[in-house]
Amino acid sequence: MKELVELLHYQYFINAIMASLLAAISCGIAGTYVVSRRIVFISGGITHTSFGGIGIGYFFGFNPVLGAAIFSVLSALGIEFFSGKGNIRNDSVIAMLWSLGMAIGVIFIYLTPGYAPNLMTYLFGSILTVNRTDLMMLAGLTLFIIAFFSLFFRRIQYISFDQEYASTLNLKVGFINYSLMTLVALTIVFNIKLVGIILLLSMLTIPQNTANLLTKDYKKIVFLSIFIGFAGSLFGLIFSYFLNIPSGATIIFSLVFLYLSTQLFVRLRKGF
Amino acid sequence: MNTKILEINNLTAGYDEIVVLKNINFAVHQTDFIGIIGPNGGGKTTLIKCILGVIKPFSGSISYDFQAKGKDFRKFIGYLPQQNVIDKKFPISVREVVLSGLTSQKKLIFRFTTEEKKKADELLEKSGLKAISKNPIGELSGGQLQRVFLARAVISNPRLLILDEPSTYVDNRSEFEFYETLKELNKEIAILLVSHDIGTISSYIKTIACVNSNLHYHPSNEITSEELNIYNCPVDIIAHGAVPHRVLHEHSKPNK
Repeated sequence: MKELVELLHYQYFINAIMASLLAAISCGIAGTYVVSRRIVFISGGITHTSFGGIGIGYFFGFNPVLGAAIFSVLSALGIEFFSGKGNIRNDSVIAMLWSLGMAIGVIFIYLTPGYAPNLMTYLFGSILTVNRTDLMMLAGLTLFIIAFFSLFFRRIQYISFDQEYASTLNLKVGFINYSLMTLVALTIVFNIKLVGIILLLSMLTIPQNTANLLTKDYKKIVFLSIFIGFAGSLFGLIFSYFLNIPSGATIIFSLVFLYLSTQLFVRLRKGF
Repeated sequence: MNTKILEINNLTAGYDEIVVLKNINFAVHQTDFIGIIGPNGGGKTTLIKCILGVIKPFSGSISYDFQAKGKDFRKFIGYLPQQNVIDKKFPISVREVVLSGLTSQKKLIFRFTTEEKKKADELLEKSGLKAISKNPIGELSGGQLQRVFLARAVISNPRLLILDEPSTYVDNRSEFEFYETLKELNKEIAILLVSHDIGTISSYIKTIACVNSNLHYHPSNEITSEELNIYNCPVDIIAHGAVPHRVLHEHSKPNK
């Protein structure tokens, strides 16, 4: 316990806690959208495609996160665009972009002379290396997401629920869907440092599904998943520090543990 | 006093480059209850989407004669879509679904007024859904779900109600109650009912429009097999049509 308190004296640990909170909020909101609209696979595609941008960033010497942002937003918009067209299967588009992005990333990282020191950071996350710039970017995004969802909450809910009907009501389906896909993509990119590309899908799905075990109300799912996401990240952070394991992996373990305990709790209460 | 509320002139429409509807001429009056029949792919849904303004016709015109003209026409049309694609796990309450029927009149950022919420509660009360108005939509039975979607369609006080295959997923009793409700609504609202099940609807509808690329309007609710032949109507309806529909109804009942 004493050691835990001492940890709070370190700036990097405070940063990590702040990052966990911001990640929990942004992923909690974006993830509820992703889960309820059943586009988890699309988010997986966006996450992995962003690796192409990271590779290009390495090769040309600019911030890999910027490259990832461009790649993920373009892939998100591309997927949303093609999903409206009939001549190609939606899930196939996702798989193609997914592997193409990874391939581009591999090629450019391979071509970059020398050793790519932070590569593991992007793949598996490294929350303890989060710096002030990362935090500012994540904070900006989180504020924007909160504002967007508060202003358009009903539209978002109605369109996700019944897009066919919403389009007959002139609900601005296109504007809302493209904006949300962009926000989901940015959420993914800005959270890469936390758990890494490979494990990011968990932050968008596990807290939401845990919350959904307890409530069927959209808003309550959002708030509960923020809480669960933050709790899971904190536990993960502490395990990661004491066991010296990558934080991404410990965070996911904590989230899955919370999910399973909630599942057990709900079943016990129902008497199986 | 039967005023014309909708008039379609020489409408040709379709998707991409495929023409689905050719030279449609059609009018709806305030007291109408029209059954729209025709084969799958014949253009029934395309016609509805044109009326709702979702797809733009290639040529021809649709004029709405509601009090307000122009872009506002949509709020005078209630729509109950084909309901086989609802995500039963989606987190939304019954009341929210009903309220969503009001959004066509809203600005980009909006709230519902107290009156609007009251209206939703009244409709839910009338449909016998008041007790479950806060429940998630996924807990409802097929018949209840249909009443919710009907409430969503009429909450904006439309003058025209369009229903697309409303009986695809409900049991017989709910179906009967549903059509009785429509009959009641028809006292004030014109109704367009799309169905390929002419047997069930023919005792409720007043007139028939047969859509199969063209549109043929029958100013009565009974059509003979000869008529159907001439107008290229679907084979399954000819088979039913050879026997009066009431006989068909009685035949199927004892089996259940």
